[in-house]
Amino acid sequence: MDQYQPIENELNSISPLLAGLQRRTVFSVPAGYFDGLADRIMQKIRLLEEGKDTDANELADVAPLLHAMARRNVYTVPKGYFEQTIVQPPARVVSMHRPRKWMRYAAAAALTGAIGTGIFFASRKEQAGDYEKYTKVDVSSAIDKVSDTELVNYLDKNERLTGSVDQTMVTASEELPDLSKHISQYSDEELKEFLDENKDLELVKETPGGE
Amino acid sequence: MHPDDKELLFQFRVPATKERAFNAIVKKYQEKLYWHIRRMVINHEDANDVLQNVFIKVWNALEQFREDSQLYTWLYRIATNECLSFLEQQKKRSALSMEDLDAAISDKIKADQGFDANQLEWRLQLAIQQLPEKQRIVFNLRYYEEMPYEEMSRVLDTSEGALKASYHHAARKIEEFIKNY
Repeated sequence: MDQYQPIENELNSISPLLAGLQRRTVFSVPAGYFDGLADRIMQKIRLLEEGKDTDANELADVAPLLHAMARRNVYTVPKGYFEQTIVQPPARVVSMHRPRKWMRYAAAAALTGAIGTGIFFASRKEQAGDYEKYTKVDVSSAIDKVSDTELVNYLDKNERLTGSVDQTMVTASEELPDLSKHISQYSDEELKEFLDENKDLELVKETPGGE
Repeated sequence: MHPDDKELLFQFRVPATKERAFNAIVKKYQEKLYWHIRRMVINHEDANDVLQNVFIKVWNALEQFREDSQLYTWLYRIATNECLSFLEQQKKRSALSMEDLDAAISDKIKADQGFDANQLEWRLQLAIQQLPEKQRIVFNLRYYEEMPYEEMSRVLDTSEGALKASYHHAARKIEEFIKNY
């Protein structure tokens, strides 16, 4: 047939071996199988439609007594049970995507951390830049450029600052305790014991000109 | 001589002629569908069960069948799906591995009364069983049924290009198997 010519040609081009084989059915079928098949199928359909399906027929073959018994319920049900309207409370709707608090907190913490880290690195960069800038300033030459009058005016204006530094230094020297008096409070044993425990201080003691 | 499909479908929709029309449809397609199924499931008893299920489904769904496709294509589609479901169930029921399952199918072929390992046609059957299920269907429909790709595309819901590639691939694998057997 012309319709099948392309199919033959196609097979010849792919596999001449297969194209050369006889396309006959090799499997065997029980004799007369197709005769009456349509009737057998129709009979099965009728049984299914009548509710007498093959499982019921199977029971009749295996256990005829069981198959013949009346299929009625033997259990009793409280009177009017099926007439009762059972009102059930509406089921609680549970959201499939319930927001989780810990996730919110975690997100907030992550965001804060990211911002904080950014600020830290940015400020470090600025500080490092400032430090570098300051190290390059020649302070003495800058001061040389300032006139004496301007320096005096500045010191006058900031007297509190400069005065306090002087006061602190003076106070520190004036208030030092009298060392000889202080040492005399201790016995020779205590002093010896102290020196034994702090041998490295002996060098100071033996330094020429030291008190 | 079988009656025309359109006429049979018309008669099926009329209650008085429904059973007679269905009977005629079964008679018209029983052998074609039987062999399509048999080549997939191998065993006659299995093929008989699957074929009966196919026609029961046809009985239940034929009234809703829309005539935008051919009855023949629609029947092959149902038969193919039933075969695949049957093979799937068989795999699930069986505790065998894939290799053992392939060996079991080969054993079914060898169990046939007419089996002759020296005949190329029997070697061909063994070779076809080595193919994956869907490739096997494509090969059978093209090789035995001489079904055009366009029609096969409607049966298997696959593009013609994919079917052609599948058929060529299958034919080469089969030839290789037969040569090395």
